[in-house]
Amino acid sequence: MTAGRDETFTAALTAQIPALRRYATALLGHATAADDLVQDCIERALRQADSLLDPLRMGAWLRSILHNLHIDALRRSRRQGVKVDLADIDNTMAAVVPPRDHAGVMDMDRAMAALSVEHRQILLLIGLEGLNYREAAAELDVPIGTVMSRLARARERLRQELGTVPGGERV
Amino acid sequence: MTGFAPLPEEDLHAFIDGELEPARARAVADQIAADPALAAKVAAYQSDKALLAAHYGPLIDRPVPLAMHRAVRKKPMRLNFARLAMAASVLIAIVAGFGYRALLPGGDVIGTAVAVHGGAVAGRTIAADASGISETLGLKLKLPDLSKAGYTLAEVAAVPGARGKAVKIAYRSAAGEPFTLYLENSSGREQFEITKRGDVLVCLWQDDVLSTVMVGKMPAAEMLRVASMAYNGLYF
Repeated sequence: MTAGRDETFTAALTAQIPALRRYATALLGHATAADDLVQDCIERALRQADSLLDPLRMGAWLRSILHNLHIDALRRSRRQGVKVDLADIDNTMAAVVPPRDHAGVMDMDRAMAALSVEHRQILLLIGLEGLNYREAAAELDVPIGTVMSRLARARERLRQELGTVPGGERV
Repeated sequence: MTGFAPLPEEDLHAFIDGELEPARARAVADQIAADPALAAKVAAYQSDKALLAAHYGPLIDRPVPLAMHRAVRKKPMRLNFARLAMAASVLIAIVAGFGYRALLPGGDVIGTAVAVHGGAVAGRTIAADASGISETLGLKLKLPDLSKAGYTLAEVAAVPGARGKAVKIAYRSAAGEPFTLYLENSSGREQFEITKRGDVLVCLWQDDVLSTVMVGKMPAAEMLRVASMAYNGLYF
Protein backbone atom coordinates (compact mmCIF):
# COMPACT_ATOMS: atom_id res chain seq x y z
CA MET A 1 0.00 0.00 0.00
CA THR A 2 1.42 3.41 -0.88
CA ALA A 3 1.80 6.16 1.69
CA GLY A 4 -0.99 8.16 0.04
CA ARG A 5 -3.48 5.29 0.07
CA ASP A 6 -2.42 4.50 3.61
CA GLU A 7 -3.21 8.06 4.71
CA THR A 8 -6.61 7.98 2.97
CA PHE A 9 -7.44 4.68 4.63
CA THR A 10 -6.45 6.02 8.05
CA ALA A 11 -8.56 9.14 7.58
CA ALA A 12 -11.57 7.13 6.41
CA LEU A 13 -11.21 4.70 9.31
CA THR A 14 -10.96 7.57 11.81
CA ALA A 15 -14.13 9.10 10.37
CA GLN A 16 -16.00 5.80 10.90
CA ILE A 17 -15.12 5.39 14.58
CA PRO A 18 -17.99 7.39 16.16
CA ALA A 19 -20.61 5.45 14.17
CA LEU A 20 -18.88 2.13 14.80
CA ARG A 21 -18.77 2.81 18.55
CA ARG A 22 -22.45 3.72 18.54
CA TYR A 23 -23.35 0.53 16.70
CA ALA A 24 -21.19 -1.60 19.04
CA THR A 25 -22.60 0.05 22.16
CA ALA A 26 -26.18 -0.48 21.03
CA LEU A 27 -25.44 -4.06 19.96
CA LEU A 28 -23.75 -5.02 23.23
CA GLY A 29 -25.67 -2.71 25.60
CA HIS A 30 -22.41 -2.11 27.45
CA ALA A 31 -20.13 0.85 26.76
CA THR A 32 -16.82 -0.57 28.01
CA ALA A 33 -17.24 -3.96 26.36
CA ALA A 34 -18.23 -2.16 23.16
CA ASP A 35 -15.09 0.00 23.23
CA ASP A 36 -12.90 -3.07 23.75
CA LEU A 37 -14.59 -4.66 20.76
CA VAL A 38 -14.14 -1.53 18.62
CA GLN A 39 -10.47 -1.41 19.61
CA ASP A 40 -10.00 -5.03 18.48
CA CYS A 41 -11.98 -4.25 15.34
CA ILE A 42 -9.68 -1.35 14.44
CA GLU A 43 -6.61 -3.53 14.89
CA ARG A 44 -8.02 -6.28 12.72
CA ALA A 45 -9.21 -3.77 10.11
CA LEU A 46 -5.68 -2.37 9.84
CA ARG A 47 -4.26 -5.87 9.35
CA GLN A 48 -6.91 -6.75 6.76
CA ALA A 49 -7.01 -3.39 4.98
CA ASP A 50 -6.52 -5.11 1.63
CA SER A 51 -9.79 -7.02 2.05
CA LEU A 52 -11.77 -3.78 1.76
CA LEU A 53 -12.82 -3.99 -1.86
CA ASP A 54 -15.08 -0.94 -2.03
CA PRO A 55 -13.91 2.07 0.06
CA LEU A 56 -17.45 3.48 -0.06
CA ARG A 57 -18.64 0.47 1.90
CA MET A 58 -16.15 0.89 4.74
CA GLY A 59 -18.91 1.18 7.36
CA ALA A 60 -20.42 -2.17 6.36
CA TRP A 61 -16.96 -3.74 6.17
CA LEU A 62 -16.12 -2.56 9.70
CA ARG A 63 -19.44 -3.75 11.11
CA SER A 64 -18.84 -7.18 9.58
CA ILE A 65 -15.41 -7.42 11.20
CA LEU A 66 -16.87 -6.24 14.48
CA HIS A 67 -19.68 -8.74 14.28
CA ASN A 68 -17.30 -11.65 13.59
CA LEU A 69 -15.15 -10.64 16.57
CA HIS A 70 -18.25 -10.41 18.76
CA ILE A 71 -19.49 -13.85 17.73
CA ASP A 72 -16.01 -15.30 18.41
CA ALA A 73 -16.04 -13.68 21.86
CA LEU A 74 -19.53 -15.02 22.61
CA ARG A 75 -18.42 -18.56 21.68
CA ARG A 76 -15.38 -18.24 23.92
CA SER A 77 -17.39 -16.93 26.87
CA ARG A 78 -19.97 -19.69 26.38
CA ARG A 79 -17.20 -22.23 26.71
CA GLN A 80 -15.65 -20.49 29.70
CA GLY A 81 -18.82 -19.37 31.45
CA VAL A 82 -19.80 -15.75 31.81
CA LYS A 83 -18.59 -13.67 34.70
CA VAL A 84 -20.79 -10.77 35.74
CA ASP A 85 -19.20 -7.92 37.60
CA LEU A 86 -21.64 -5.76 39.54
CA ALA A 87 -19.29 -2.78 39.20
CA ASP A 88 -20.01 -3.01 35.47
CA ILE A 89 -23.44 -1.53 36.05
CA ASP A 90 -21.81 1.90 35.75
CA ASN A 91 -20.89 1.03 32.19
CA THR A 92 -24.32 0.03 30.99
CA MET A 93 -26.28 2.24 28.66
CA ALA A 94 -27.82 4.21 31.51
CA ALA A 95 -24.41 5.69 32.24
CA VAL A 96 -23.77 6.97 28.73
CA VAL A 97 -27.05 8.66 27.89
CA PRO A 98 -28.47 11.91 29.27
CA PRO A 99 -30.29 11.44 32.60
CA ARG A 100 -33.67 12.69 31.35
CA ASP A 101 -33.85 9.68 29.02
CA HIS A 102 -33.02 7.10 31.63
CA ALA A 103 -36.46 5.56 31.98
CA GLY A 104 -36.94 5.09 28.24
CA VAL A 105 -33.42 3.88 27.67
CA MET A 106 -33.63 1.40 30.50
CA ASP A 107 -36.75 0.03 28.79
CA MET A 108 -35.11 -0.08 25.37
CA ASP A 109 -31.89 -1.44 26.82
CA ARG A 110 -33.69 -4.15 28.77
CA ALA A 111 -35.82 -5.06 25.78
CA MET A 112 -32.85 -5.24 23.41
CA ALA A 113 -30.88 -7.32 25.92
CA ALA A 114 -33.64 -9.91 25.86
CA LEU A 115 -33.23 -10.37 22.09
CA SER A 116 -30.76 -12.56 20.23
CA VAL A 117 -27.67 -10.94 18.68
CA GLU A 118 -29.08 -11.70 15.24
CA HIS A 119 -32.28 -9.82 16.04
CA ARG A 120 -30.47 -6.87 17.62
CA GLN A 121 -28.24 -6.71 14.57
CA ILE A 122 -31.05 -6.52 12.01
CA LEU A 123 -32.98 -3.96 14.10
CA LEU A 124 -29.92 -1.71 14.33
CA LEU A 125 -28.91 -2.04 10.68
CA ILE A 126 -32.37 -0.99 9.49
CA GLY A 127 -33.54 1.24 12.35
CA LEU A 128 -30.30 2.95 13.42
CA GLU A 129 -27.86 2.74 10.53
CA GLY A 130 -30.61 3.40 7.99
CA LEU A 131 -29.72 0.60 5.59
CA ASN A 132 -32.30 -0.46 3.03
CA TYR A 133 -33.20 -4.15 2.68
CA ARG A 134 -30.87 -4.67 -0.28
CA GLU A 135 -27.91 -3.18 1.60
CA ALA A 136 -28.70 -5.22 4.72
CA ALA A 137 -28.92 -8.39 2.61
CA ALA A 138 -25.51 -7.64 1.08
CA GLU A 139 -23.94 -6.89 4.47
CA LEU A 140 -25.34 -10.03 6.09
CA ASP A 141 -24.76 -12.09 2.95
CA VAL A 142 -28.33 -13.46 2.98
CA PRO A 143 -31.26 -13.14 0.52
CA ILE A 144 -33.60 -10.15 0.88
CA GLY A 145 -36.38 -12.54 1.90
CA THR A 146 -34.31 -13.57 4.90
CA VAL A 147 -33.77 -9.93 5.87
CA MET A 148 -37.53 -9.36 5.73
CA SER A 149 -38.53 -12.39 7.77
CA ARG A 150 -35.77 -11.84 10.32
CA LEU A 151 -36.72 -8.18 10.69
CA ALA A 152 -40.40 -9.08 11.16
CA ARG A 153 -39.53 -11.58 13.91
CA ALA A 154 -37.09 -9.18 15.56
CA ARG A 155 -39.63 -6.34 15.65
CA GLU A 156 -42.27 -8.64 17.04
CA ARG A 157 -39.90 -9.76 19.83
CA LEU A 158 -38.95 -6.13 20.58
CA ARG A 159 -42.61 -5.15 20.70
CA GLN A 160 -43.30 -7.97 23.17
CA GLU A 161 -40.41 -6.85 25.38
CA LEU A 162 -41.24 -3.13 25.23
CA GLY A 163 -44.91 -3.81 25.77
CA THR A 164 -44.24 -5.76 28.92
CA VAL A 165 -44.02 -3.72 32.09
CA PRO A 166 -41.67 -5.09 34.80
CA GLY A 167 -44.65 -6.67 36.58
CA GLY A 168 -45.25 -8.82 33.53
CA GLU A 169 -48.49 -7.28 32.27
CA ARG A 170 -48.95 -6.20 28.68
CA VAL A 171 -49.77 -2.53 28.14
CA MET B 1 -61.08 -7.47 7.32
CA THR B 2 -63.53 -7.70 4.48
CA GLY B 3 -62.18 -7.29 0.98
CA PHE B 4 -58.56 -7.73 1.94
CA ALA B 5 -56.31 -10.77 2.07
CA PRO B 6 -54.46 -11.03 5.39
CA LEU B 7 -51.39 -8.77 5.26
CA PRO B 8 -48.12 -10.71 5.60
CA GLU B 9 -45.95 -9.38 8.46
CA GLU B 10 -43.07 -8.88 6.01
CA ASP B 11 -45.20 -6.52 3.90
CA LEU B 12 -46.27 -4.57 6.94
CA HIS B 13 -42.63 -3.89 7.84
CA ALA B 14 -41.66 -3.22 4.23
CA PHE B 15 -44.44 -0.62 4.25
CA ILE B 16 -43.06 0.98 7.41
CA ASP B 17 -39.54 1.02 5.93
CA GLY B 18 -40.63 2.45 2.58
CA GLU B 19 -39.53 -0.67 0.72
CA LEU B 20 -42.77 -1.41 -1.18
CA GLU B 21 -43.43 -0.54 -4.81
CA PRO B 22 -45.73 2.55 -4.99
CA ALA B 23 -48.80 0.61 -6.14
CA ARG B 24 -48.39 -2.03 -3.43
CA ALA B 25 -47.72 0.68 -0.82
CA ARG B 26 -51.01 2.39 -1.72
CA ALA B 27 -52.91 -0.90 -1.43
CA VAL B 28 -51.34 -1.63 1.96
CA ALA B 29 -52.11 1.93 3.15
CA ASP B 30 -55.78 1.40 2.17
CA GLN B 31 -55.87 -1.89 4.02
CA ILE B 32 -54.36 -0.31 7.15
CA ALA B 33 -56.82 2.59 7.00
CA ALA B 34 -59.72 0.14 6.90
CA ASP B 35 -58.55 -1.88 9.90
CA PRO B 36 -58.13 -0.09 13.27
CA ALA B 37 -56.40 -3.09 14.87
CA LEU B 38 -53.91 -3.26 12.01
CA ALA B 39 -53.42 0.53 12.18
CA ALA B 40 -52.63 0.30 15.91
CA LYS B 41 -50.09 -2.42 15.22
CA VAL B 42 -48.38 -0.40 12.50
CA ALA B 43 -48.31 2.65 14.78
CA ALA B 44 -46.71 0.60 17.55
CA TYR B 45 -44.00 -0.72 15.23
CA GLN B 46 -43.35 2.75 13.83
CA SER B 47 -43.05 4.11 17.35
CA ASP B 48 -40.60 1.32 18.34
CA LYS B 49 -38.46 2.07 15.31
CA ALA B 50 -38.40 5.80 16.13
CA LEU B 51 -37.67 5.07 19.80
CA LEU B 52 -34.71 2.90 18.89
CA ALA B 53 -33.23 5.56 16.62
CA ALA B 54 -33.83 8.33 19.16
CA HIS B 55 -32.19 6.43 22.01
CA TYR B 56 -29.12 5.04 20.30
CA GLY B 57 -28.65 7.83 17.74
CA PRO B 58 -27.00 10.39 20.06
CA LEU B 59 -24.30 7.86 21.04
CA ILE B 60 -22.49 8.93 17.89
CA ASP B 61 -21.62 12.26 19.54
CA ARG B 62 -19.44 10.83 22.31
CA PRO B 63 -15.79 11.95 22.24
CA VAL B 64 -13.58 9.20 20.84
CA PRO B 65 -11.14 7.78 23.43
CA LEU B 66 -7.49 8.60 22.82
CA ALA B 67 -6.62 4.91 22.69
CA MET B 68 -8.76 4.50 19.57
CA HIS B 69 -7.19 7.45 17.79
CA ARG B 70 -3.86 5.84 18.56
CA ALA B 71 -4.93 2.40 17.40
CA VAL B 72 -5.88 3.83 14.01
CA ARG B 73 -2.54 5.59 13.68
CA LYS B 74 -0.70 2.39 14.59
CA LYS B 75 1.88 4.51 16.37
CA PRO B 76 1.58 3.81 20.09
CA MET B 77 3.72 6.59 21.54
CA ARG B 78 5.22 5.31 24.74
CA LEU B 79 8.07 7.67 25.45
CA ASN B 80 9.96 6.47 28.47
CA PHE B 81 11.69 8.74 30.89
CA ALA B 82 15.24 7.96 29.72
CA ARG B 83 14.48 8.74 26.07
CA LEU B 84 12.65 11.83 27.15
CA ALA B 85 15.53 13.07 29.29
CA MET B 86 18.00 12.45 26.49
CA ALA B 87 15.91 14.34 23.96
CA ALA B 88 15.48 17.18 26.40
CA SER B 89 19.16 17.49 27.29
CA VAL B 90 20.14 17.60 23.63
CA LEU B 91 17.54 20.22 23.00
CA ILE B 92 18.41 22.36 25.94
CA ALA B 93 22.04 22.29 24.80
CA ILE B 94 21.08 23.38 21.29
CA VAL B 95 18.74 26.03 22.55
CA ALA B 96 21.35 27.38 24.94
CA GLY B 97 23.79 27.69 22.06
CA PHE B 98 21.62 29.25 19.39
CA GLY B 99 18.75 30.92 21.15
CA TYR B 100 15.33 29.37 21.16
CA ARG B 101 13.34 31.60 18.82
CA ALA B 102 14.65 30.32 15.52
CA LEU B 103 14.22 26.76 16.68
CA LEU B 104 10.72 26.95 18.00
CA PRO B 105 8.38 24.74 15.96
CA GLY B 106 4.78 24.92 17.04
CA GLY B 107 5.58 28.36 18.45
CA ASP B 108 1.92 29.39 18.34
CA VAL B 109 0.94 26.79 20.87
CA ILE B 110 3.92 27.58 23.06
CA GLY B 111 3.36 31.33 22.81
CA THR B 112 -0.31 30.92 23.67
CA ALA B 113 0.48 28.61 26.58
CA VAL B 114 2.99 31.09 28.01
CA ALA B 115 0.44 33.91 27.68
CA VAL B 116 -2.17 31.73 29.41
CA HIS B 117 0.30 30.90 32.18
CA GLY B 118 1.02 34.59 32.68
CA GLY B 119 -2.69 35.32 33.13
CA ALA B 120 -2.86 37.39 29.92
CA VAL B 121 -5.72 35.29 28.50
CA ALA B 122 -9.20 35.37 30.01
CA GLY B 123 -10.70 31.92 30.58
CA ARG B 124 -13.96 30.38 31.67
CA THR B 125 -13.81 28.04 34.66
CA ILE B 126 -15.02 24.52 33.81
CA ALA B 127 -15.63 21.35 35.81
CA ALA B 128 -12.38 20.30 37.49
CA ASP B 129 -12.65 16.68 36.39
CA ALA B 130 -12.29 14.42 33.37
CA SER B 131 -15.62 15.51 31.87
CA GLY B 132 -14.77 19.22 31.72
CA ILE B 133 -11.52 18.63 29.82
CA SER B 134 -12.89 15.88 27.61
CA GLU B 135 -15.90 17.90 26.51
CA THR B 136 -13.87 20.99 25.72
CA LEU B 137 -11.33 19.13 23.59
CA GLY B 138 -13.51 16.30 22.25
CA LEU B 139 -10.99 13.76 23.52
CA LYS B 140 -11.33 11.35 26.41
CA LEU B 141 -8.81 12.58 28.97
CA LYS B 142 -8.26 12.49 32.70
CA LEU B 143 -7.33 15.33 35.02
CA PRO B 144 -3.70 14.63 35.99
CA ASP B 145 -3.03 14.31 39.71
CA LEU B 146 0.33 15.95 40.42
CA SER B 147 0.11 15.81 44.21
CA LYS B 148 2.94 13.26 44.34
CA ALA B 149 5.18 15.90 42.76
CA GLY B 150 3.97 18.43 45.31
CA TYR B 151 1.56 20.34 43.07
CA THR B 152 -2.03 21.02 44.04
CA LEU B 153 -4.82 21.86 41.61
CA ALA B 154 -5.84 25.53 41.53
CA GLU B 155 -8.20 25.92 38.56
CA VAL B 156 -9.40 24.33 35.33
CA ALA B 157 -10.54 26.73 32.60
CA ALA B 158 -11.48 26.72 28.93
CA VAL B 159 -9.37 29.31 27.08
CA PRO B 160 -9.07 30.39 23.45
CA GLY B 161 -6.16 28.42 21.98
CA ALA B 162 -3.73 28.87 19.11
CA ARG B 163 -5.84 26.78 16.74
CA GLY B 164 -9.16 26.25 18.53
CA LYS B 165 -10.47 25.51 21.99
CA ALA B 166 -7.86 24.92 24.68
CA VAL B 167 -7.80 24.00 28.35
CA LYS B 168 -5.73 25.57 31.10
CA ILE B 169 -5.10 23.46 34.17
CA ALA B 170 -3.44 25.58 36.85
CA TYR B 171 -1.47 23.99 39.67
CA ARG B 172 0.51 25.50 42.53
CA SER B 173 3.69 24.16 44.12
CA ALA B 174 4.11 23.89 47.87
CA ALA B 175 6.05 27.16 47.67
CA GLY B 176 3.10 28.80 45.88
CA GLU B 177 4.79 28.84 42.46
CA PRO B 178 2.27 28.53 39.59
CA PHE B 179 2.56 25.64 37.12
CA THR B 180 0.34 25.53 34.04
CA LEU B 181 -0.70 22.50 32.03
CA TYR B 182 -2.03 23.74 28.67
CA LEU B 183 -3.94 21.35 26.39
CA GLU B 184 -5.05 21.80 22.81
CA ASN B 185 -5.83 19.51 19.88
CA SER B 186 -2.65 18.60 18.02
CA SER B 187 -1.62 19.85 14.60
CA GLY B 188 -0.93 16.17 13.95
CA ARG B 189 2.86 16.31 14.14
CA GLU B 190 4.74 14.57 16.94
CA GLN B 191 7.08 16.88 18.80
CA PHE B 192 8.93 17.10 22.06
CA GLU B 193 10.76 20.26 23.08
CA ILE B 194 11.90 21.97 26.24
CA THR B 195 12.72 25.66 25.94
CA LYS B 196 13.18 28.66 28.16
CA ARG B 197 11.01 31.74 27.75
CA GLY B 198 11.97 34.65 29.91
CA ASP B 199 12.11 33.25 33.42
CA VAL B 200 9.85 30.23 32.76
CA LEU B 201 10.67 26.83 31.35
CA VAL B 202 8.31 25.46 28.69
CA CYS B 203 7.85 21.82 27.76
CA LEU B 204 5.92 21.02 24.56
CA TRP B 205 4.88 17.40 24.37
CA GLN B 206 2.79 16.82 21.26
CA ASP B 207 1.54 13.58 19.79
CA ASP B 208 -0.82 12.98 16.89
CA VAL B 209 -3.96 14.05 18.74
CA LEU B 210 -2.95 16.27 21.63
CA SER B 211 -0.62 19.23 22.22
CA THR B 212 0.43 19.37 25.85
CA VAL B 213 2.40 22.41 26.99
CA MET B 214 3.75 22.70 30.51
CA VAL B 215 4.90 26.06 31.82
CA GLY B 216 6.55 26.87 35.13
CA LYS B 217 9.53 28.43 36.86
CA MET B 218 11.66 25.38 37.71
CA PRO B 219 14.88 23.55 36.83
CA ALA B 220 14.85 21.29 33.72
CA ALA B 221 15.09 18.09 35.77
CA GLU B 222 12.03 19.09 37.79
CA MET B 223 10.18 20.00 34.57
CA LEU B 224 10.93 16.56 33.14
CA ARG B 225 9.64 14.83 36.23
CA VAL B 226 6.40 16.85 36.40
CA ALA B 227 5.88 16.80 32.61
CA SER B 228 6.15 13.02 32.53
CA MET B 229 3.68 12.70 35.39
CA ALA B 230 1.27 15.17 33.78
CA TYR B 231 1.44 13.67 30.27
CA ASN B 232 0.95 10.12 31.50
CA GLY B 233 -1.77 11.25 33.91
CA LEU B 234 -3.91 12.48 31.03
CA TYR B 235 -4.61 9.06 29.61
CA PHE B 236 -7.20 6.52 30.51
